[in-house]
Amino acid sequence: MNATQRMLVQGSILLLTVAPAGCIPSNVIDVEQRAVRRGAIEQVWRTAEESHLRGFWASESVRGPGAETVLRLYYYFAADQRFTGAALITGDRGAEFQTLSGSWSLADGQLDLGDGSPALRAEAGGRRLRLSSADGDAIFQREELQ
Amino acid sequence: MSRLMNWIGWLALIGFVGAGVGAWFLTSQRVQFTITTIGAGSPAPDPTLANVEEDLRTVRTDLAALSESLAKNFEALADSLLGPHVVAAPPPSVADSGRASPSSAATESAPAVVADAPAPRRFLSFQLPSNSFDYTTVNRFEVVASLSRVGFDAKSTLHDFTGVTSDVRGNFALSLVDPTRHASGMISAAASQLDTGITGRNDALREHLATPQFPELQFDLQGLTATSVDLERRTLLGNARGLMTIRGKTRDFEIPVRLALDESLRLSVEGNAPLKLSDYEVPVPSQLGLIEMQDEINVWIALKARAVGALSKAAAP
Repeated sequence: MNATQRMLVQGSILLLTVAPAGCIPSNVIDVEQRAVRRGAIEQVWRTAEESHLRGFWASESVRGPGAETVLRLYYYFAADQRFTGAALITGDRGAEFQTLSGSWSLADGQLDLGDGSPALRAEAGGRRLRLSSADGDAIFQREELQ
Repeated sequence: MSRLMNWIGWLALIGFVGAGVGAWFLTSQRVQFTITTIGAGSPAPDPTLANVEEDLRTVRTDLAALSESLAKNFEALADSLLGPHVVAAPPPSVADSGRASPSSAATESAPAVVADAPAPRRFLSFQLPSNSFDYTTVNRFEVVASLSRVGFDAKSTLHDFTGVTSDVRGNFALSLVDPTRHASGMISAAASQLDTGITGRNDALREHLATPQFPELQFDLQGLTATSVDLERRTLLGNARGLMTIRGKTRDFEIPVRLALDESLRLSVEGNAPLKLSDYEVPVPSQLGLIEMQDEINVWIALKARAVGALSKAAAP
């Protein structure tokens, strides 16, 4: 093998060594894709019934004027029409749980918690529950109590 | 026979007298006799009973003072929560017709509004802090890791790539209206969790960043200058300056940022800025001298943070 042939072979080997690196596609993230975007909860909602409401619920999302201070919500609706709820709320003293309990009733999708406040609109969708009021709304996921 | 009976009688009498004297000697230290004249005035007070009476009197006085003080404090609390026109009412009972009763400490007295005091804020029957979040003051924020990412874009001879991680922590305090008033905080990311999409490249990156010795990439915020503030849209454009620490080396660093509130009223912080690896003594990767990465990379942040309250007056400027 003469010098030229040797040079061609060495060049080819070198090219074959580094070329695969060029086959790796660029994975640079576009500016618009940098932020974590939680997909909107696609859900078909229907008027909730009592049987759907019973159980334990943990909030997935909170929207509205109260969302700034409400970190998490939990509700438990018992079959005997009793309920209890807890909300993790931030204030000047930091985050604190607030609890309430009472009796609940549901009629035509209007949930009355018996505290004198306007009834909440209750909608169900699969394992989700949406409670809405003029103050905002919250979407809950049913969780099993083990 | 009669003489015998006489002797027995005398002996019995002497025996009984002797037993009485003996009993008297034995009990003289254990029995106290008190002789008092009926109707001649109050008997001397029992010291033990007197002590108990005194203690009870003291407790009664303390209880009265506590009740008075509690009433005043509840009145002051009602005034501060709902204004000067509130009349305190007794708290509702859960047993009374099963009505719901919030049980947080801030709502125990459940005052009734009499005049034009603002109604308490509520959300799905829960009572919210009386004051809505004040964005004009200096507030503290905590990074929500699951909704945040930091990364870098790099250029190399044959292709460009991004390294990114959501293993982000941090907190900061600033005023969204006037950030020059106060801006401080710290954001850190786990260097070993940067993912470039290729395992071998990730390994090389960890080696160059010496992640076992320097596990964190950290930015200490020291100031924020605003170039544009939109109160209506609640957005702010500005420059965040501070100290960046990579591989144990700390340098001044400035990054243009955009702050905005989302529909859930969380704060998003986005920005990017160039950075030279050599400034932090990070070896620039190179393969066979042919495939080289550029010294300058583009560092970017996409954070979501939740407000956790106002900065305490002691800490605020």
